[in-house]
Amino acid sequence: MIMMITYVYFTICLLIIIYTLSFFMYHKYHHSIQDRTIRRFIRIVHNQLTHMDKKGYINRSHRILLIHRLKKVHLIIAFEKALERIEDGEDQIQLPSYLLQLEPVMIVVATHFRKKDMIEKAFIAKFIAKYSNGQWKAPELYRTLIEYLSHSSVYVRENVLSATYRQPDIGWIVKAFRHITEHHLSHNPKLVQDGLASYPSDKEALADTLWRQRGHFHSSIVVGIIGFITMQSNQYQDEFLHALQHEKMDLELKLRLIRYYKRHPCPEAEALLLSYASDSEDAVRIVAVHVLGSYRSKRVLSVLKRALLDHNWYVRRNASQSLLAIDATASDLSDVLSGHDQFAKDMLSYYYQLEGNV
Amino acid sequence: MNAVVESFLGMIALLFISYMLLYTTYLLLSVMFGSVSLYEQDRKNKLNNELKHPYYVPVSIIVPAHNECVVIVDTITNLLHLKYKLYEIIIVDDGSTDGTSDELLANFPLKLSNRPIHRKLDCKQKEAMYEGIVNNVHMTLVKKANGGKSDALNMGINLSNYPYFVTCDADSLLQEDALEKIIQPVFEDEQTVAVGGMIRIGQCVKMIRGKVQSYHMPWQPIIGMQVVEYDRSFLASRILFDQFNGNLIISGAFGLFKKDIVIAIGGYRSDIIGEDMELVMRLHTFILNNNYAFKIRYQTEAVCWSQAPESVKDVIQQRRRWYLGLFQSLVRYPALFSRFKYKPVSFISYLFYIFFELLGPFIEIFGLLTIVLAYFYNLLNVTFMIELFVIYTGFGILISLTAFLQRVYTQGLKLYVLDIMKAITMVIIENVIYRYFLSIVRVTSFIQYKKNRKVWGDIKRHSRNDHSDLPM
Repeated sequence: MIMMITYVYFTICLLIIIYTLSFFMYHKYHHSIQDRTIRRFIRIVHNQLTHMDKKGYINRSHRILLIHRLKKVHLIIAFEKALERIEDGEDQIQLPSYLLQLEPVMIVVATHFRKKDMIEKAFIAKFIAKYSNGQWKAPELYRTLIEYLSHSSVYVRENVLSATYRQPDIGWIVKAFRHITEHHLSHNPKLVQDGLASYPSDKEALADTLWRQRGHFHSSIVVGIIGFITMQSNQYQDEFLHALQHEKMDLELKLRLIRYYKRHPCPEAEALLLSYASDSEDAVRIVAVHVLGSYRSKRVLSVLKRALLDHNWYVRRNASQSLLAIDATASDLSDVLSGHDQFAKDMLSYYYQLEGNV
Repeated sequence: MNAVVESFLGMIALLFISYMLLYTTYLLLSVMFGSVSLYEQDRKNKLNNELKHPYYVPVSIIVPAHNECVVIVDTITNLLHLKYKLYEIIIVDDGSTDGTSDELLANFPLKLSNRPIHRKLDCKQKEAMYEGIVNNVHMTLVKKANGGKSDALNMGINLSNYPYFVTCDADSLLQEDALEKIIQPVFEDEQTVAVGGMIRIGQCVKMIRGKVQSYHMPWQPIIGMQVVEYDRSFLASRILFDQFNGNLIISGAFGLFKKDIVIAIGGYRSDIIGEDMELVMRLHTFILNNNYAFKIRYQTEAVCWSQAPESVKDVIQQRRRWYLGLFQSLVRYPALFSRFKYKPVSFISYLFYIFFELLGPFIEIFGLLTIVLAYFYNLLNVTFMIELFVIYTGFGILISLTAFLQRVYTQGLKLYVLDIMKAITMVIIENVIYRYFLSIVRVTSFIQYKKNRKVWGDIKRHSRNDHSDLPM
């Protein structure tokens, strides 16, 4: 029996290897076929660009041809590669107006791909994000993309969000975030933050809308939004202060809000930051002491000196760096430098030496 | 007497055949699964399913080194050319006597530093520390008393500034996109606390600044056999186990970890040889004990080219260390199986390592001895035995060849006919001779176990790249 089973396995394995080798050969063959398809697409698009030069619009038959062809994934890959090559060539000036007229094609194609798997959906979303240039505004297109988000993979989420960030209607971004939240999904805050930065229109308006709607979003998205606001706007000092003082929130959100005051110092926030420097939560003290490096006052100096004796190493390290940042002099710190706390002394001496102050 | 021996041999044959059947079934399923997974990944890449991003999280790269003066400059030069926005390099010279630190100080502009060390993890005292900025990358070199690889890694963690750290062996070269790739699972799921990279044999490639210039199967059989062996083991276990968060090993040559979690579980243990496997098993136990949703992942696209031993003596030394490390780790965490029987990491991964990796060599050697015994008692069906050996070995050859071809294809490497011929030859020798040789090496590893259990594995290194373009 063992022989029979092993023979069966042997045969299966042989089939796998034959499949692998056939796949290699097919892949080589596919490469040359794909190259021919790309060249054909380039020729077709070039013809349309010439046609557009004369008439200002693309042919209806061209649109129909694309609708028919781009429903096949290998052809839309070839089409994308063709567009990339045209972008690198001389005719690229005409390309934005050509792409603008592809919107109806992409509506049909995106709808067609609704029934496909996550990998293909992610590709279509990426294609739209890449070539819409903020010009494709049809609600059907974004409605379909948001439908993609239900039970989606991280790639679908990222690519659909990228597509919504690159069009001007803030409403679609809000809808996408809400859809993700309602489906109990999340998204990496760093991706949200940097994605929002690519929004082509009024970023202040975007920040304002998203902050007002934050209650409807998953906390990871809100953290990303705060990161985006921190990078973009100094108009949230009062808003964030109010939130810190009056709202109950996740620790991560609280830390993000505190960090805002490092980049955008605000005298009204100083008292709160000073109180955070002696908070019972280590993470809050670590961040608060770091942020206080943007504030210069006697109270800050004394709180930072006290923080040099904190039991948490990171608080002590940040206190040293913050003292350096507020230009505390050696005489300001003489009591620490000649004191008995070896860690505090080492830390201060090290950072002062780095800056050439000692 | 003959009847007793006959029934004894009959029982052994039954056991041996069951083991073979189980192992071949496992190999077949895992290779099929691995193949599907690699093709899926290939499809994802073709269809832009990736998280391309200009800036990820900052990462500390820790390079523990002990008598690595031959390769250390190559390795650090390679690390300085990674395509990644923000990272630092920490080299921990663990009591080298060959001038490893001097080599670094002669090649990179590092200055003596009195930076305080936050000793979150226990490690030996520093003897000297140097710092500098090279190619916009912050570099730290710390010299310390010899305490073993774990001790050196703990020192590196203590010195690291960033929330994630990567371990990289001093003889390993990372591909320029390796950091970008290894961090991807963290961006896909923030619960990811550790990611293993794909380790390949460095002697096959010519690399300049993290870019693979050419790939060839090496001429030396001892290296070629390791190439195909690595391919099979990665395809046959790591990819399959990754599907259910079940990898028990993240190679010390290239792995990413979330620092606060590693600190929370006490860092690397210095009383063990296989510190990399022990850490991952402790992480699994920690996750399961506390019912956390943390994940340990494996990233096939994050590639590290590591130097394989080039002599039989070095191979024996390396494999003995690996085997003892495996033994120590599995013995130390029996709870991973006994307490969490219904978790795949327990009933698939743990049992795989116990039966096929730990006991496998003993079973194979025992099987061979039984054949000899049967021959002496004239109970051996020679035709059957030869047929079984041929089909079993043939199966092994096909599996290894499949793994090799698929890996080369998915890595986009160009192969020449000569390379394929060499690969086929290596695969045959590996399955006919090398694997039995390794079984003997493993079985005999326990000799001098007490003496060897805490020492660095010193393997002869060879410099691979010219470093005339050092960034000063």
